[in-house]
Amino acid sequence: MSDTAEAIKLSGLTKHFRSNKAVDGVDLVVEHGTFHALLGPNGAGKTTLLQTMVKLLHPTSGHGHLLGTPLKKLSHRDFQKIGYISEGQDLPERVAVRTYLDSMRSFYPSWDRDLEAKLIKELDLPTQPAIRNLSRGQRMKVQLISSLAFSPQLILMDEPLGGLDPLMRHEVLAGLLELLSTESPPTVLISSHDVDEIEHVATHISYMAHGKIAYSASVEQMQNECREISLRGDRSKLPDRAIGICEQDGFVRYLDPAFTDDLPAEAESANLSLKEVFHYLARESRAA
Amino acid sequence: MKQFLTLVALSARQNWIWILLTWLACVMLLILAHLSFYGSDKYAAVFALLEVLLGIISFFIVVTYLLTDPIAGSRSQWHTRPIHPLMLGASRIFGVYICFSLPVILYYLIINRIYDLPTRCSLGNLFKELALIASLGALAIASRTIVSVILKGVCIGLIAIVVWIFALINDIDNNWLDRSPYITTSDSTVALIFLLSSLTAFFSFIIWRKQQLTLALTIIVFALSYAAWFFPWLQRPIEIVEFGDSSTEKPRSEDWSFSTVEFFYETDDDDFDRPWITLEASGQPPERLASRIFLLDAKVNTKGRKHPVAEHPYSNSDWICLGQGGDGAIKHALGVSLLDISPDLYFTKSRLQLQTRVPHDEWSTQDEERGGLLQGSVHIGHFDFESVVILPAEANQMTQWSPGRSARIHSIGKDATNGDLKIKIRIASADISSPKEPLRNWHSCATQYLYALTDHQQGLAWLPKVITPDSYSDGTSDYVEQLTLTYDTKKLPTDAQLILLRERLLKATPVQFSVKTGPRS
Repeated sequence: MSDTAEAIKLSGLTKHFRSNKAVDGVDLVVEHGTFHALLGPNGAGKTTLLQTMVKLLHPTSGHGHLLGTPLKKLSHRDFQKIGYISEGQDLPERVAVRTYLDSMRSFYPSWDRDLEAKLIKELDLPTQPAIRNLSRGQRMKVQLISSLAFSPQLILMDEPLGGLDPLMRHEVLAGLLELLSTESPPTVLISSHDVDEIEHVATHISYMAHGKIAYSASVEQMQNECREISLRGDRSKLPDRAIGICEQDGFVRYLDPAFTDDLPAEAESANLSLKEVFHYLARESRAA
Repeated sequence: MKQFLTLVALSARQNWIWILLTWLACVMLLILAHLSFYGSDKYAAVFALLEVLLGIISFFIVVTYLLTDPIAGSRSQWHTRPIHPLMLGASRIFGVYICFSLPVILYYLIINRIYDLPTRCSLGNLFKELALIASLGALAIASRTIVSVILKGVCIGLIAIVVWIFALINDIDNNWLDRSPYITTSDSTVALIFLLSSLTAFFSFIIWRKQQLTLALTIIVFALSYAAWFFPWLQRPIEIVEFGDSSTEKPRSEDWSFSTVEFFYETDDDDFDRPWITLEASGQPPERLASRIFLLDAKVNTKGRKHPVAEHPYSNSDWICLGQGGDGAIKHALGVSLLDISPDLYFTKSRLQLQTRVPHDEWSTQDEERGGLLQGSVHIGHFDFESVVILPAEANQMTQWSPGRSARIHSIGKDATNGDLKIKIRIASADISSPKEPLRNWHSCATQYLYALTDHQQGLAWLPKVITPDSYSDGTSDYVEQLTLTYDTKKLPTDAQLILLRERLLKATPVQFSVKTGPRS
C-alpha cells in the first residue's frame, strides 16, 4: 500500500471538450480502504472524471494523484495496483473466458489464482464459452474477476451495475464485499446510479453535477448531518446552505447538508436515506 | 516477451476471420491474375477492379482494426492494464502485419513474378506496405503523453516524407493501378494517398481525438485520392507521338551492321503474342553470331504522358545463334514476355538493345565461358519499335502485323458531299481457326485500335472524325472486317502517314501506312 494518506487526491481537475466542461475543477480526496460512491445524474461528468484519472483522457488542467503517483506520471507498472472497470469496456469477443483470464494472468505478478477461482465460483461464471456468448451481467463478471484477481490496491469502477438485473447486481456487489472483507481492503471508487445497492456498501459518497463535486462526505457524516427540513412560511427564513428547495402543501422543504440542532421556528427535521439525499441533490443540480 | 506473445495470440484468436478473408482475397486475386495473363482477356478488367478494391478494403480493415479492435484498437481500455505502451503498439503492428500485410506483400511478390516486373517494383510495393504499417503503427502506439504524441507526429511526418521521396525517385508504382490511362502523376499518386491519409489520421486522431471522425475522414480522403484518377478533367487526349528514324549502330571494329529491323508479334496457339525481331544485316557478320536481348528500354505513353516504365534488363535471356553468313533476314525469337504493357499504353520511343557475342570457338548456349565467346559485348543497335512496316499508301497494299493476320487499305477516297477523306481498311486473317479479328471489348481494355494521321515534319497528329467498324458475329464473338476512317480534309496536311495501332492486352503492335492525302481541293 502507498505511504500517502490518500488513495486518490484530485485538485482542480478539469476536462473540457471544447466549450463543454465535462469535468470542471474537481477536488476529491478518497482515503485508503474506503468504498467511495460517486453519484450523479447522467451527463454529470462521472465517466469523464474516471477516464481522466486512468489516463484514457488528458486533463485540460489541474492535477491529481493515484496511490501517491501523479496522474501524468502514471505508468503501466502502476496499473499492476489499479483495477479499472467500465460498463462499455471492450473485450475480445471471440475468445473464451478461460483464455481471456489466462492471458490476463501473465500481466499481473500478483495474480491470485485461488482468488480467481473463488470469484468464478461465487459469481457463478461459466469459463468455457466465448465472451460474445455471455450476457451483459456475465461480461461484467468477467471484467470484475480480471480486475480483482490481482488484488489491486485501488479499484475504479464506472457504472458497473448499469443494466444488471437485481440478482446480478447483488452478485456483483457480493464479489466486491468479498474483497472488502480482507485484512487490507482495497480502495474502491465506484460511479453508479444504483443508490439503493450502493448505500449498503459505500463508506463515503460524492455527488457530482455539471462537472463539479457538489457534495462529498462519509456515509456516517451524511446520515448525521443531512436532514430534510420542513417549515411553514416564506423562503426568507431559509439558510444559505439549503439544497433542493421545493414547496408543497404550504410547506417549504429542503435539504440541510450540515444540520445542527438550530432549527428555525415552525420547522421540523427528518433523517434521510441516501436515495432521498440523492433526490435532493439532483433537484438542486437540475434547478441550477 | 511473454506479454507480447500473449497479446499477439489474443489478437490472432480475435481476428482469425479477417486473417482468413485477407489470405483468401489474395489467393483469389492471384488466380485471377493468372487467368488474365495466361488466359482470356475478359478476366483482366475484373482483376484490375478487384485489385483496386483490395487496396481500399485492406486499408479500411487496418484502420478499423486499429480503431476498434478490443485488444489492439486505440479505443481499447487495455491502456489501463500493466502493459508497456510500446509492447501494446508492437503487438498491434505485428497483428496488422500477420493479419493483412503479410498476405498482401506476398501477393505483390507473386504478382510481380507473374508479370515479370523488375525487382524494384516488388521492393516498392513492399516499401509501401511497410510504410503503411509503420504509419498506422505510429498511430497505434498510444500511451497518451505529450511525448508520445510528439513522437507519433514525428514518425508520421518522417514516414510520409520518405514515402514521397521514394516514390518520386524510384517509380515504385509500376503496377496495374498506376498504368491507368487516367493517371496524371502516377509516380507519386499512391505516395500522395498515403501522405494525405496519414495527415488526415494525424490531425483528426491526435489533435481532435475524434475516432469516428478519423475513420470517416481517412476513408473519404483515401477514396477521393483513388477516385481522382477517374475525374474526367484529368483525362488527357490521345497524343500520337512523332516517330523518329530508327538508329543503327555499327558494332565496334566490325565492318557489318544491321540495317533494318522488323518487329512484330506472333500469336501462338495459346493466343499469346510472342515478340519477333527481324534483323537484316549488311556487310558480312561473322559466323555463329550469337545474340540475346540485353536491355529493353521502352518508354510508353499513357495517353499523353510519356514515362519510362519498361527499362528492363534481360540478364538471363538465352544466347541464340542468329544464323549463318548474315546475308538474309535473321529472325530471332526472343522467347520472353514483353513486360507488362497495359491495354491503354503503347510504345512511343522504345529501344531494344541487343548484345552480340561472336564465339572464337564452338558456340554453346550451355556454357558461355567454355565456348570461348568473344570477350566483352557490343551493343549493336537501338531499334525503334515503330519502324516496323512502312508501306506506300496504295489500294490493296497489304501489311502484316503478325503472321496470319493482315491489314490492307481497301480504298482511299473522298466523300462526294463534304470532301471528307475516307480510308477503308480491310482486316483479314489467314488463320482458319481465327478468321477475323475479334471485336470484343471494342471500347474496353482488351483489343483496341488507335488511328491517326501524322505529319512527321511537324510532329502533329489528327484523329479521325468518325470511325465506322463493319463487323459480323458468329454467335459467340464479334469480328471486325472493315474499318472506315473519316477525316476532315480541311484540317489535314497535304502529306501524312496513317498509323494503325492494334493493341491487345499486354501487347502493342504498331502498323504504319504512308498515306498521301493529296492536295487540298
